[in-house]
Parts: sequence; C-alpha cells; structure tokens
Amino acid sequence: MRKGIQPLLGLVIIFAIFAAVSSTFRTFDTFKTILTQAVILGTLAAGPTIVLIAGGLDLSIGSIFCLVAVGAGLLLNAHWPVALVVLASMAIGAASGALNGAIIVGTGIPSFIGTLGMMKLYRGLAEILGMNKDMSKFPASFQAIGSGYLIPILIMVVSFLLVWVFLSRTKLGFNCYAIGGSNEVSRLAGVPVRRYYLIYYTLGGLFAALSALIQSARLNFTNSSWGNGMELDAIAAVIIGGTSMSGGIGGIGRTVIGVLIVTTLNAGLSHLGVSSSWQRISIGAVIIFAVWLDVFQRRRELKA
Amino acid sequence: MTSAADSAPRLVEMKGIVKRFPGVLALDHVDFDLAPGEVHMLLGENGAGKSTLIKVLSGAYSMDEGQILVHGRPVAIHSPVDPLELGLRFIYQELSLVPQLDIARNMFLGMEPRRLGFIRSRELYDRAVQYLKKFHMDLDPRAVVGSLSVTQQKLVEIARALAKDAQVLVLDEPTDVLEDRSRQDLFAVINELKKSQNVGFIYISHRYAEVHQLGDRVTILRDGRNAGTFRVSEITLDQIIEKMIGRRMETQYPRLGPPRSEEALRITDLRKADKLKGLSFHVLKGEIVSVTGLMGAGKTELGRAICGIDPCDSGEVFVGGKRVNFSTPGRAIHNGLAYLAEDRKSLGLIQVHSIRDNYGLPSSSRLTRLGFIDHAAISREAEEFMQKLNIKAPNMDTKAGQLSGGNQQKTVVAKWLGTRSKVLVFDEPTRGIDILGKSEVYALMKDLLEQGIGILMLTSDYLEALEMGHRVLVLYRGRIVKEFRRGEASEEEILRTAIGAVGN
Repeated sequence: MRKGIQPLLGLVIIFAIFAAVSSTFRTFDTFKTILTQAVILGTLAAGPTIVLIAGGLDLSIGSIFCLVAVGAGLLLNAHWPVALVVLASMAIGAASGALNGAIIVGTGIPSFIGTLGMMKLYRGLAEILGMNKDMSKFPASFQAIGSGYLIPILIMVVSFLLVWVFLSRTKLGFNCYAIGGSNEVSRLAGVPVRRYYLIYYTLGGLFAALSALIQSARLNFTNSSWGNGMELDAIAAVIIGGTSMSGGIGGIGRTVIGVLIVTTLNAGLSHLGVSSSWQRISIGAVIIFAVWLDVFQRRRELKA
Repeated sequence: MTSAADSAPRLVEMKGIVKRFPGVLALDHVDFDLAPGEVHMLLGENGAGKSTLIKVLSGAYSMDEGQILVHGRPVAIHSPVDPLELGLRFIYQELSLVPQLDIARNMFLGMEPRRLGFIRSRELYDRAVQYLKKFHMDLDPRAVVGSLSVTQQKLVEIARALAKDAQVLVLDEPTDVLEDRSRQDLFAVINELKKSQNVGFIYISHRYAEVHQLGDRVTILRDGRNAGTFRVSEITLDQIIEKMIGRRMETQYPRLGPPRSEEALRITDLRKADKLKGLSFHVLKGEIVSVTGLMGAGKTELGRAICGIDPCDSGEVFVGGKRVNFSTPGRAIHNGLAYLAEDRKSLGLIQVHSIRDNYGLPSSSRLTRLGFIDHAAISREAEEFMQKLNIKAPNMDTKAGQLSGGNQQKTVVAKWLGTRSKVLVFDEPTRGIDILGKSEVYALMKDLLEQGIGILMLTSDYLEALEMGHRVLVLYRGRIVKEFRRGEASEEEILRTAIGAVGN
C-alpha cells in the first residue's frame, strides 16, 4: 500500500463511522464547522510541516501565535492602518521564528529544549504586553480577513500552495528534505545547513503569525491567553498526516489530511456528546498510532 | 617445545565456520581453537575476517555453517547473552565502562552484592580489593574510572571481565590506544593471568611485533580463510607477513594508461594538529595516487581536510594549477573537489532517499535558476548516470538503503560526477564490496581517468593501493614517509613501511 494513502484512508473511515453513528454529524453544517476549525490549525501547521521535514522541531509556535495576536491587537488599538498591522504581525512572527533558529543553530542545543524555553519566553512576553488590555472591536477591513468562509479558506489554500511549491519546486525545499534526511550528508554535499535551518524556522514563525491574524479577525478580539497547546495540535496534525518525525520525508498534502483527521475527530466526538477530555485521549491515541506506523514502515522499507 | 596447550582440552573450538553476507563469503570454513592458559593471537588484514569470526563467537552474528564447542561441549550461540554464560568475555576497542562511577562499581555493575534491594558497599569494595590483588593490579577501588589513564581503564575492563569468572578473554585491538610503557604493563598482567588463572586469551592486533612478545600461538586469516595456525616460537615475522598477503583471489585490476602532464591537484604543507604534519604532494590529470597506511595514520583526515569538511591549521590546495579556497565543503565542491566518504551508509548517501534525490543533492545549485530547481534535469541526469555506471536497481526512485554495497558506491560516484569535479578523493572505495563490485568500481575509476580527472585514493588495502595507483604514498603518523612507483615495490614492502618498520 502506498505510504501516503493510509492517512487518507483513515480520514475516510473516521468520517464514515461518525456519519453512520451520529445523525447530527451528517449535516452540511458539520462540514462547515470542520473547515472553519481546519483553517486556523491548517495555516499554523504549514510551518511545522517544513520544520519537521528539515529534521527540526519548534514547540513555541503556539506562543508565537499568542504574541502576534497580542501585537496585532495593540497595534489595532493604536489605530494603525490595517495593512501595516498585517505586515507588522508577519514581521513579529518571522522574527520570533528566526530567533529560535538562531539560538538552535548557534548554540547547538537540541531543538526540543531550545524551543521549549522560547515557548515560555514568548508567552510571558505576550502576557506582559497584553494583560488587562481590551483588544477588540477591530475595523471592518481587518475583520474581513477572518469573516465568512471564503477569505480564510483562501488564505489557507494559498498558504498550502505556497508551501507545496516551496517544497517540491525550489532549491530551499529540495534541500529541506536532504537536511532532514541527514544533516551531515547534506553538509558534505555543500548545503549551508545552518543558514537554511534559520530560514525554515523563520517560515514556521510566519505561518503562526498568519494563523493568529485569521483567528483575531474572525473573533474580533484578541487575548493573551490564546494558543496554549496549539503547537502540539499542529505538530500532531503534521505527524498524523504522515510526515516523519525524524525528517527527510513528508509533504504538505499529508498535513492537509492530518489536519482534517484531527478536526473531524474533534467534531465527531463533540457530536456524540463526548467530553473534551475524552477527545484529548482519542487524539493522543491517534498520534501514537501514527508515529508507530511511521517507524514500523520505515524499518520495513529499509529491510526490503 | 610441548606445552600444556597440546594436551589439555580446549577452552573454545570453532570448526568449519562459514558466514555469508550478500555477495561476500566472509568466513570460509574457518577452524580455530583456544587452549587454557595460552595467548592465541589472531592476525589478518582489514576484511580478512577477524572481526567477523569474533562476532560469530560473541553472538553478534549467527554463523551459516559450523560448530562451536566450549570445554569440549557443543554450544549454540544465538545472542550476545549466551557466550557470557559460558565464561567468554569480550573487550573491544571502545571502552565500555561508566566514567562517572568508581572502579568497584564498574567491576560489579549489574551484579552488586545486595540486601533487600540496597547495595552492600563494604562487601562491594572488599571484593573489588580482593580481585585487584589477585590480578596484580595496583589500583584503588574507589578511584573514579573517568580519572584513570587509558591503560588503567583497560585494566579495569579486564578485571571486570575476570571478576565475572571469565575463562576466555577476547581482546580486540587492545593496545591501539596505549603507549609503549603501558603496553608492557598490560602484557605483564596478561602473562600473570594466564599462568595463575589458566585463562585463555584471544588477542587481535595489527601490531605484528606484539606477536612474539606476548603470543603462544598465532592464527592468520586471509580472505576469510585460515591461512595457518602456528606456535609463535616456530614462525618469524616475515613468514607471518607472507601468509597475510599471499596470493589473493582473482581481483580484476584494469591496466591504467599513463597520466597527462598537467596537474589536477597539488597540496602544499598541509597541517592539522598532530594528525597531519606537513603533507605535500600532487596528482596529475588522469592519474591515481594511492595513499595508504595504518588506521589512524591520517588518511581520512587528509581527505576531509582537502575537501573542506574539517578545518585544518595551514596548507594550500591547488586545483588545475590554481590556488583554491577549500574552507567549507561548498567552496571545495565549487572548486572541483569531491570527497567520497569511507562510511558510505551514513556519510555518503541519505539512506531513506531515492537514487535520484541523492544524485541531485550536490548538484542542486548548478540546476537551480532564480530559486527554482529543474527537477526534470535532475531526473534526466540521474537516469543517464544510472545507465552509464550500470547501477542495478529497479528504477531511480529506489531508496539508497536498498542497494547493495557496490551499487551504493556507484551512486556515490554518480552524485559527485554530477558536480563536474576535477579531483575525486576516494576514501576506502571498495570496502565491504564483493569481487564483482570491486571490479566494476575499478573499471569506473579507469574511465574517469580517461576524462582527465585526477584521483586520490585513500585505502588500507595495500594490494589495491599498489595495483590501482600510478604512485603510492605511505602515510605514517601524519607524515608521508615513502613514495613508491608502480612496479617499484611489492605489497610486502608497503606493509612494512606502513607499520613503521622501514623508512621511519
């Protein structure tokens, strides 16, 4: 069975089961809900797709999400023009990602620990900046980013397309797979590994920013408590979709499936009246299954 | 001179051991035995089968045919646990002690005297002292292992093995890391142990001088076969060397044409700490220069330094007569240098990627315009090279990890040829490759010469160095001690120079 097919099959099966079991699930409304939730998670997950393929890991994207949301809120309160706010938010995201990359590449500490630390740092910063601030009632032009279905979905689709082009058609993308496959082989082949890692982490931050903008626009307010745990959901989606945790293998198409699996599971379980704690348990089980499948298949592939 | 070794029942007997790997017959009906109270040296060149034989005994490999007896009884060794239970202990080159713990704790790791789950310290240290005295080792059991010298650490490893009632101790290149004086200390302990405890030692070494210092008997392996077992008193070093080299299985070495007159590569005064001590030489276009020497002589360091992989302290590199920047791999590649790593699996190719992707990696810059890669070109070139080099695989999407050693090597060559290199540095080009694969690699190298490429071949196979090189440079402890031309030397002479017996 071709490797990419399994998660897709899984998605179809999950969907079919819920549709069969829950009558409320079978509506068009559900479909819309799933898509709405998928947009934010999906846009966010574009970042870790790239970073994981390169063999890296950024646990701070949920905090970057929060930091950007707070930043956008403050700037909008200060009546900055919307276009500038968007640009500034993207810049904050990019800078945060770049800082992560610089620390990991510069000090050589494992990405897990490094970005774990930055996760706390960025969140703390966001809380300091946004505590007790009323950031809401944004201008209509800003809200447009997140309102309805068309624009947010368009943003997500464009993000995915850009990442697809990046990974499959550009040198940076090609080398991303190589670096994830083996840092050392890539270095010996002349790839500037450290410089490229910086770029990949920066991109991760950018997508976190985009995702935060969509959510702030849709809900018409921002808060310094957002994004808690979102990085794990995003990374989980990427892995469930079939991108390997050890790098070198994966793609944005897989992330799409992974995101849909996660959001469908959440929606389906909600419709069945399952509490959010049990939802967490289910997602956890699926993650473990997905990673096990990945490891199992790779071992088999190399033995053949 | 008869000894107890003649009449006593053998500690270990290995009969007719056969071990096959894909494409290679690593052990060809090898017989080997060990008597109590003897030191039995096991010699042979790289790839002769010494490690394989030991791994069969240690349970790391399972043999395809043959029988193993311990104390005269046939045993089945299926995993590394089995030999331990039979009283066999293995000490490898890499130290396996815990540096943060002291000697006593290391000696009884996993077998500490306990009561109700707590370790009985006093008993632990008393026992340690007992054993250390028994082995005549002058060490304090409370000394932290990490603070000991390498010799002392080796002694602790031996003590640990013996404290677990080992009757057979297998030592793999134990003195590689030791200084001369320390070696004498180790020998003294070994001699004492074999006399007083009747322990049998299997001792692998490439320092042939040690044979007569320490050994009782010696077995020489060559090409997977036992080339002879002798009493040490009845054989000379020369004879040993002769047996090690002997007449080989027919490897096809192509006839090399004469090199061109222009230079492909020139190195002047390359230095790196105490690894490379001022190397200068050149390689002409269409020429293969072999660099050979013992492990640790500096071959790999040389290759990696020239190609920008590891920094060096000083030295200049000229490609095609022009001085070039070789400070990073990227710059070296850009200037026409290519390094084909010894460790194909982890440094040469990305095992989980396809042949095509591996091919394209160093060429990605060349085939990129405005940030976009020309994937069609990569596929096309990969296909061409697969044909040209006769890489046997279903198609270019086959993962590198599924290829045989020879085909992996060809893929590595293909990938570097893609960078239009002018100089190729091969590090152990045919290691782990069977006869057929070797011939193909040599034929490939000959083709490259005809295109005007210069090849620097780093190898520890003296025959290969001689037969495939226009000239042979022998490295000894970071210096070029002698240069041979084809036809001017024999494999034996090269070996002697490499071990430092000549020209040092």
